[in-house]
Amino acid sequence: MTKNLKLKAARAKMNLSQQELADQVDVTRQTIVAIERGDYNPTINLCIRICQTLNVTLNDLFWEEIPNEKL
Amino acid sequence: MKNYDEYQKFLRYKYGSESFIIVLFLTFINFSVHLFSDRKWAENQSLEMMLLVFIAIIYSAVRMIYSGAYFKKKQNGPFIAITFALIGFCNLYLVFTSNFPIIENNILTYDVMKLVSSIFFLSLSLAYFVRTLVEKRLEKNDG
Repeated sequence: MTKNLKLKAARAKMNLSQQELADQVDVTRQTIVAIERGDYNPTINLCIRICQTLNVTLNDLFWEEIPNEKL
Repeated sequence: MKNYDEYQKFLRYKYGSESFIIVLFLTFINFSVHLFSDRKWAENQSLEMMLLVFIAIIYSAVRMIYSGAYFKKKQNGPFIAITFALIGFCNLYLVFTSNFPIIENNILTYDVMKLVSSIFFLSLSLAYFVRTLVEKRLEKNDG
């Protein structure tokens, strides 16, 4: 899985550390680390909670463009 | 599995499955040893199974602690890890001060369980403190 740099950028924009974001969405810091590294795909509920905390949409953080060759 | 977040549950299921496979593999190896030779390595088969299962338990518990899936979010990890270390050292002290040998006639006796449990508790606390140091370094880098 690819790294989720959009999540990292959105978090940095809100001046939140990984621990602070984890506390606000009620998960552990390791979960946020795993999502940012692309090691774990969160459930839709967690995605929504993260987006609500960072004040962005699901598309902003979790949408991936499929390369044209794969279509 | 209440109070664990979804990633922790995922990791616990993963490491639990891996430790189950380890138990199956070790049981197969042990069965093969008994099938092809008369070699006895523990007092009885119950002790052999307990030791094999303990290997798998130590593996899964250490991996869970290292990946942050062992303790719930609200649990006091440092306190529990220190308690584990103390229990481990107490068991280790009992091993060295015991009058009963761990190995007798080239066979493991039941007293080996004190050594195994000390290894279990000490490895958990060691994994926790190593992980804490690694996380502090990562936190500084990631912010």
